[in-house]
Amino acid sequence: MVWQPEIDELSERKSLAYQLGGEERVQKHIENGKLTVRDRIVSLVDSDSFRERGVLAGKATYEDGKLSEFRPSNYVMGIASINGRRVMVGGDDFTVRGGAADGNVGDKKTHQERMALELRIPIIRLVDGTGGGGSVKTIEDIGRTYLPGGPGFWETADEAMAKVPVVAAAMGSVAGIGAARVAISHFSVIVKGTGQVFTAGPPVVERGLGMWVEKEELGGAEIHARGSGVCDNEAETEEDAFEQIKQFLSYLPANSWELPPRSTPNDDPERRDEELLSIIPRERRQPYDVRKLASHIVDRDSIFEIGKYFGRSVVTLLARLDGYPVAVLGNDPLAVGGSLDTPGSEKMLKFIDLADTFNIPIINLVDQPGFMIGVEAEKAGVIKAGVRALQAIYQCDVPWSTIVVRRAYGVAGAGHQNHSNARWNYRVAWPSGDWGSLPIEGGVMAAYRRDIEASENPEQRRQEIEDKLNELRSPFRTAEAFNIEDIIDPRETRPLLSEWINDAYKVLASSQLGPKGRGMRA
Amino acid sequence: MTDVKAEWPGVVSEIKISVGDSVSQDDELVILESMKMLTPILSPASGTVSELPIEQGQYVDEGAVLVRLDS
Repeated sequence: MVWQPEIDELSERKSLAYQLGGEERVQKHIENGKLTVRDRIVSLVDSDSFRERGVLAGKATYEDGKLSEFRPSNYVMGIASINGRRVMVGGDDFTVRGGAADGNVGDKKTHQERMALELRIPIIRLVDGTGGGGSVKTIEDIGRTYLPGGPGFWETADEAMAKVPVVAAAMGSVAGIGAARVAISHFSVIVKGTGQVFTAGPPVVERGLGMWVEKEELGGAEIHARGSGVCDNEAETEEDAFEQIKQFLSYLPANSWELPPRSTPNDDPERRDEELLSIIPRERRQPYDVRKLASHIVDRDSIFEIGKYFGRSVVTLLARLDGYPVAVLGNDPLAVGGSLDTPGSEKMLKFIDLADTFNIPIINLVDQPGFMIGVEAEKAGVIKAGVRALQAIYQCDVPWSTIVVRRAYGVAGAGHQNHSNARWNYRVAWPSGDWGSLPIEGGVMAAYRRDIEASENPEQRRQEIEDKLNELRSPFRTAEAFNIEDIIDPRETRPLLSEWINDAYKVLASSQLGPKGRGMRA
Repeated sequence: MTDVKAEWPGVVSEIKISVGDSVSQDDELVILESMKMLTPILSPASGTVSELPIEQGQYVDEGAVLVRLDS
């Protein structure tokens, strides 16, 4: 019992840290519908798995050499497990200095990121804090101003994007560096009603722009999960956010050196769903449910959708096939006609980069009418965003397979996989396959204008030409020329892809994995 | 009052409701043809159709009000 007094002091100091910002502030925080930071962590991770680091950090006041007051650091972090796998988890304590960075003693945030990088485990950030260098109050405390930035967060955050999965949740009003910590991630989720993300909050907006806007209208879930795409997903509650984080991580390896984890297969790889034979309408202008289509191909109940409400013409799903994680891309004919627009391109780029960074094979379910057209699409820079998405495809080197379920038109249609001679990708089509540089209906007038205009009955002539060309439209003619590997019975899609995914993981297992030349950008 | 707006440009292919009709959430209100695709525009809420500022065959811009609902 030589060191018993110190052990007692250790307990005493820990209990001071557990009091967070004090009873009153904690009560107010809970009344606002939010969990305290340690309760958040405990709810998220496996029971009894959280091993906190840096609990003793804080700002102490001494009287006669004795500790009289203690304000804990407002960043709580440590190592824990999620479904038995190690993660680094940390969160802001809003009850101390509103979670502002000036209450973060000794930069625990960067310490957490560095630790995760060394241990090669995922980083989870539960963000509920404001302002970069803290508030303007810091100036008074340190007696000077300072240049923003400096060593610390940015280089570790950037390195993490290349090496370990980074997940962020916006769980309060998150501004400045807090907003950046949400955005620079592989997956982010915002809690509806209590989470807001902005570069600066309403008072700063009022001062700088002369307008007052409520925080929810400035940066709530509606803005960022449905408009800007800053956050991938929205959560109904904090618990829902934790469930989504757990589910996202379940498809990912711990780092970019490892293979994604295979689950025990729960479904027959040979399953042939009859529904697939009728899911694509014969009438080309009729849409269908691409999520349903995907669900008939991948393992039962294995889909986790990312970015459902942003860039809606592109659907991005993490799923499993014969237990193996796969990244499924699709086009949604119910949104923007399925065409590739600027938000859709941004979403596609991020998803491909995610799969490429963490060695997840990609399945592309193609029904691409082409880039979005029109004035608004041009103003939004569709071709620039589109070529960036195509670059992502050509830079990506994970196994890739393409199923052309219907249309593949134009430059966007060409971007359904890497076509370089240096690569083979598994590519087949369904009998509903329909492709070309320009759809016949729109292209006839451009290509046969003279012929049509010279005719006595131009409309009849146009129809004749269209009918003649439509006879050549059958995908079987393309297969005759071996321009596509095969046309398959849609019901065969799952058995064929199950076989492919087993091969793909064998290829990955014998490949040199690890970070790519430069990490993905958020 | 809920405005149902066109989220992308297109041509009004079919109007499935009339002023005064009661609609439920997710009912098909209008079929908009964009990029050669007939896209149903669903009701975001339950309510009564109070205004229909569009005609069949009309081109609408992104953001144009298609249907106004009292909900």
